[in-house]
Amino acid sequence: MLNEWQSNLWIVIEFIIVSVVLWFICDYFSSAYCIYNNPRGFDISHCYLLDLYEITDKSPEFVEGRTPEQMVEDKLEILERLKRRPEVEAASYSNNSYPYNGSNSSISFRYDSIWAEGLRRMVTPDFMRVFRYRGINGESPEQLAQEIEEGKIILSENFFSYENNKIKGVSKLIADSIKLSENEHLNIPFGTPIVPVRYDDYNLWSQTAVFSNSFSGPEALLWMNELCIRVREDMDKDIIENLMKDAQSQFHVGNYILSNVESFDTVREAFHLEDNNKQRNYIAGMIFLLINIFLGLLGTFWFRTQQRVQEVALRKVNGATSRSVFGRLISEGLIMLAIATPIALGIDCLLAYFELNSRYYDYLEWDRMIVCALIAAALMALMIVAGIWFPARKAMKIEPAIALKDE
Amino acid sequence: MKQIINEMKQQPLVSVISVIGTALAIFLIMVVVMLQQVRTAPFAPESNRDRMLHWRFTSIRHSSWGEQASSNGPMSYATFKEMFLPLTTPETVTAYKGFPEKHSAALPGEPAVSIKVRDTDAAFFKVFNFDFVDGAPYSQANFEAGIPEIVISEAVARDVFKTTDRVVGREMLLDMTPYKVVGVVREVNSLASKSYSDAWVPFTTTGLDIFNWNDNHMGMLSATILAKDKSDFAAIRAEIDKQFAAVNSRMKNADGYEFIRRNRPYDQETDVTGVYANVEPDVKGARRNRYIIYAILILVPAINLSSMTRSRLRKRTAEIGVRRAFGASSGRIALTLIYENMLVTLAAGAIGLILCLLFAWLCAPYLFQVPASTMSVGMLVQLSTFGMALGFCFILNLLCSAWPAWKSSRESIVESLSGNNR
Repeated sequence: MLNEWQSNLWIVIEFIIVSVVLWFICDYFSSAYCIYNNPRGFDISHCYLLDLYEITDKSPEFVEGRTPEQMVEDKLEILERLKRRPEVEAASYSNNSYPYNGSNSSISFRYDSIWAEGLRRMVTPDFMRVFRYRGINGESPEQLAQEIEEGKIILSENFFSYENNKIKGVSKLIADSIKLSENEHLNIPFGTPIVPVRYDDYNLWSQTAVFSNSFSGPEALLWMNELCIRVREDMDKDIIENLMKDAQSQFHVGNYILSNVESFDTVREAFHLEDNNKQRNYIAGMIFLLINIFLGLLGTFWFRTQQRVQEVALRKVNGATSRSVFGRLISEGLIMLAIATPIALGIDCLLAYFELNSRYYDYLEWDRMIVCALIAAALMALMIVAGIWFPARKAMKIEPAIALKDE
Repeated sequence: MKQIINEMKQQPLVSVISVIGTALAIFLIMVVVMLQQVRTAPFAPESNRDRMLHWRFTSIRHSSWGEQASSNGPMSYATFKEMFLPLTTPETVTAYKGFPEKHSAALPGEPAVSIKVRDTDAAFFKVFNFDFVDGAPYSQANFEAGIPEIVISEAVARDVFKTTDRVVGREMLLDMTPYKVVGVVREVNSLASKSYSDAWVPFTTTGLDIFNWNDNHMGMLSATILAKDKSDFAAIRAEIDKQFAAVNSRMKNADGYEFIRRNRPYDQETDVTGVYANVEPDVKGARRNRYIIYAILILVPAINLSSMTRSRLRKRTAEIGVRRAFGASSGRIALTLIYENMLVTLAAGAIGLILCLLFAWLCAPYLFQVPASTMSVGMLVQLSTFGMALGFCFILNLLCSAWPAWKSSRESIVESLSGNNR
């Protein structure tokens, strides 16, 4: 092995680079996986998004001279009609609020001297039931909806929990009201803290404040453009077609008409199209790199082993069994991997330290780091063994006399 | 050439692995190139992408909101008219809804189908070159008068009218409003992110011209400026500077609002890099990330290929020794070896590129989420595509053959010929 140090050094360098690349890919996926599997704080199963279109004066159906009060009533009437349907469990209006809506609208509150900002969710009370928001102690969506109805603001437990912030959770606050950051004098009561509600599947942003539209007056309902419903679990079948069938009759009130129904699975898919594509590309890239690395190792070891046919023959002549020669060849590869791995691990740490792949809080986590490095090493060991296995078997089969005839 | 083929025949396994490895490398890297290319390369109806400047989102703040607070999103028609219509340097400017939305379309008394509709002005069809199968876009006069006219794709014509023949002039209901079909266009796929939809209507008929928030400064519209020539970009930006300052000073005095620039408008590459309305796109960062990906995709195969090249050259040590014994300089031998390898790389690269084109074409629904029938050659093949593929081959070849060739050419002649080489 030492005699071959020059070419071995080359292989060790190759191992280091390949190992770092493999680690990076493993780490990327493990951090993406961790984020993806963090609790989301909402539930979109059996939920649907409905679009209401406001008919213009270009249509013969247009009703002239509708006042804002009447328009509010029209929208509420549609909501009531929806709620009366047997399939519908809950229905709500909201603004920039439903999961995967892509809006970064935020609102800030002050508690004592602490100022914090979170996602702003302006909703009608049933919104809590549609997306099944939950209190941190398991409080039901119904209870939360009641609190919204009473004019309380519902904050996620982590609303005031920022770095360097002493407040550990909303439930630990002593007072029961907070102030709007722009208005020092207005005290707003807050209700049961809820489980943080994530911005989307790939983001950990989850500071959230949910409140009723009654804060902005009844006409705020006019610009609450989102109509979401939760359908009872066993009644999903054909719900989109059934609702659209009644669009022109039941769901046409005043100048409002139901124009589209979409399941939240579709909404989510459309919202995450880019992210999902990125994941897909990374997976494809990883498979490609693995194939490439495998081919490379196979090619390298093929030659190495074939060039050592004489050596193998000599060993056999001197009494070595096929098994021992075989073990020797494979262990050489693995020893080189063992030399390469700690060096690669050092580079991995460096990369993690500089947060090159910064996606997760507390980036440098030792357990994840070690696990990923081990996976990378195991994958490489597998490829090395496979790369040596085939040529070594071939070399073994050649009769020593033939292999050594040149000597 | 003969020698290369002979040599490859002598070592079929390694040769095949080398060629497959190289082809795979070029294949994957070109797929990555294409994923980016479709976002910026010109193709109908966005054939003028290189002359376009986009103002997708607008940012605004108010004196009462505090230093950090801003509101970000599309603009109102009033803002568009004040800021963009007076511009004289560009060829034309258009206002349109940034994303199409689903609406119900039907013939009176028939069940409705859900189609995507985009609200635009009349100039939209001057900036984006749609392929009209029949009819023409709505006119400026009709747009201003708010006459309900609609341009539909062939697919919508088939869905709603069950034919694409003589559809122009007929009427259909869009959310219970009768619209007259004025034009039928060939289908557009979603890779043309600014223009694609199933149907297009004047936004003066949908109320988007009066829809607004933040006191009529913000609304639902994005703008695209079409320059007469790419070289006019600087002049256009200079004109916008003046316009922007004038609008801001008027607004500040009138109601305390002020627009934030964030270096808008953006060219195509910058625009597609940005995701959020409140953050300036980081083109340099995106490019750096892309280069890192290219580097990894080329470096890993190069390392593997180079160890194979090295193995291959070891077998030729004796031959190299003979050549050197007959007076060939080591530089010359190294160059020959690199050149020989280059030919192999180029052939393998061509295979990779062809595979990549085939893959992109056949797997378009998977790769780009668009039907393969709506893909055009222009989306996939640009002059730069070949240039980049060639460039990558060149780099890959240098990386995987330069060091082994240099090493082999420098072995001492005696050692080489004795067969006692390492």
